[in-house]
Amino acid sequence: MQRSSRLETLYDAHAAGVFHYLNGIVKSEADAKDLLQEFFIKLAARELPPLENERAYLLRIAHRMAIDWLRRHGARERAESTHPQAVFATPVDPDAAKLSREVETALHALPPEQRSIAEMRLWHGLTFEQIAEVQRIPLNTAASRFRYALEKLRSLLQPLYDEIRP
Amino acid sequence: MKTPPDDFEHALQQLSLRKLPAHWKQEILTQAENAPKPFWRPNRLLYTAFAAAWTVILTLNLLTPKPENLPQAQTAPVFAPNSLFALHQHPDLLLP
Repeated sequence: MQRSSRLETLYDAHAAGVFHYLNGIVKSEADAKDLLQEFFIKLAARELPPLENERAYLLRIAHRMAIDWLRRHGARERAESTHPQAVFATPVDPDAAKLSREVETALHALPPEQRSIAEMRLWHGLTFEQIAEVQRIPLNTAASRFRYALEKLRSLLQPLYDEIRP
Repeated sequence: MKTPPDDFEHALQQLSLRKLPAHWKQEILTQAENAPKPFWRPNRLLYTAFAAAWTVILTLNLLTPKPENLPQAQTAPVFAPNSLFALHQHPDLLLP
């Protein structure tokens, strides 16, 4: 079967980002993988318009799916991971590797609504306008949640960052 | 709205997201393409046409006078001559 090159291109460019975003919300790799599968089934079933910002468009779909998933699975049913998820590729440099592990731990400590915004801003490169659109929240809320998230990350990570900073 | 990142923010941005296991790609894309396609797809044009049709129906409904508002005949009821004759012969019929 001739694979849709558009779908494959989208997978290569965005699957990891979408997976980590979903994982940050549902806090379970197995469920995030199931949702990623469902996400690509949805994409395969629809005709995608030309997109100005693919990542923002895809994260909007992923966000809605994750919220639906949270509604479907009650708090008791969810098997949330109590350990920080592995979000980042392990850098070769030991100091950078240590920082990445600490950032994962710090991210895990953030409230989900702050974590998802921090991820979108820092690692998906979205603007506050795009974040507000993805999560359907006011622009100021997106900006202030990011500020709180960054302050918390800074308070948790600044000592290590100061120690390893060249 | 863009504010320049400070050093700390920049250091965080340098971390790259972990890649997914390579075998997921084949698995996920194959399942996505073999999944049954939905029979009904939302179509913006179709929804717009439905909305327009409903607006027309609603407008016509609002503009059409209700039966109770239709002008009623103002003249007194006309009795057939035979009926008048019968009533004249038997006035007791008019009594309650």
